[in-house]
Amino acid sequence: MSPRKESSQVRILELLADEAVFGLGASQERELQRLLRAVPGFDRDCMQRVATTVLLAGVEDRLQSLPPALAHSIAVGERPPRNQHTSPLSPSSAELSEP
Amino acid sequence: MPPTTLERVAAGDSAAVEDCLRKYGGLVWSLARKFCANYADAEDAVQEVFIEVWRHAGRFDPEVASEATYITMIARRRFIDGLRRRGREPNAAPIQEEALVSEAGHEAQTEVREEAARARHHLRQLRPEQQQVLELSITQGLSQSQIVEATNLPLGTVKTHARRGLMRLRQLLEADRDASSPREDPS
Repeated sequence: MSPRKESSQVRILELLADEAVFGLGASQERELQRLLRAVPGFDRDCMQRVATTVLLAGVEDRLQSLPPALAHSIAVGERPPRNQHTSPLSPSSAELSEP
Repeated sequence: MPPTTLERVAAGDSAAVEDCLRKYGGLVWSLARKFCANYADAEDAVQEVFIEVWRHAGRFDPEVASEATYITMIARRRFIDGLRRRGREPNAAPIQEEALVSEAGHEAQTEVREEAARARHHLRQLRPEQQQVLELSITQGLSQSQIVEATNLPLGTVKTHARRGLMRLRQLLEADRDASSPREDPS
């Protein structure tokens, strides 16, 4: 691999890492697109997968069950009416006052 | 090797949809409750995530990622979009309290728990400051400026920890995958 291509790949990884964690500004996005055009076939999602691993690491002890009614709605392709829940899981008054 | 759940979904197997919801519905729901402002938004978000999952099931490649990672990646994109639209912090309601009401723990989620445990093992190999920044940004959904405030680190340092931490984590995951993939028969 040429030093120039290697340098481009390192920079692409840096930009993809920045994108996966905080998102990119317009100039960084343009730079990334330009570099990706020069390195066809680059795995565009590689850093998003790594960031996803961090998210997965945080759910280990916090998994809940999908509410059965919601699971059913998804399975049959329906959309449940909003605000039908009055369980303790319903939004707090503070949440309801959010814009 | 038998087809994965997502490969069966892509092939139009309706039973696979229910299998997928049973295995990964709790994972997506747990994340939605963390990142969405309220219960109704979480319901909508989970529906939208699974519509995306059904739509893109054919693009899933088990050589590249696990199903849990693939589905979580789709979910994360949807939740980040929601956070940016709202311009606010994720739901502050502690998920542990809800788990008392809706205890998961059934067998269908074993794969997800194992995947999460592996992820945590790799994350714990990063430097503590890299772990902290990545967890604050990715797990807690904080912005750069919120992390600067929470850690008292300069913005440039926060960015460097995030970038280096993620790149190191990528190396660890690749080494793990190389070590666990079956060796080719040289004959």
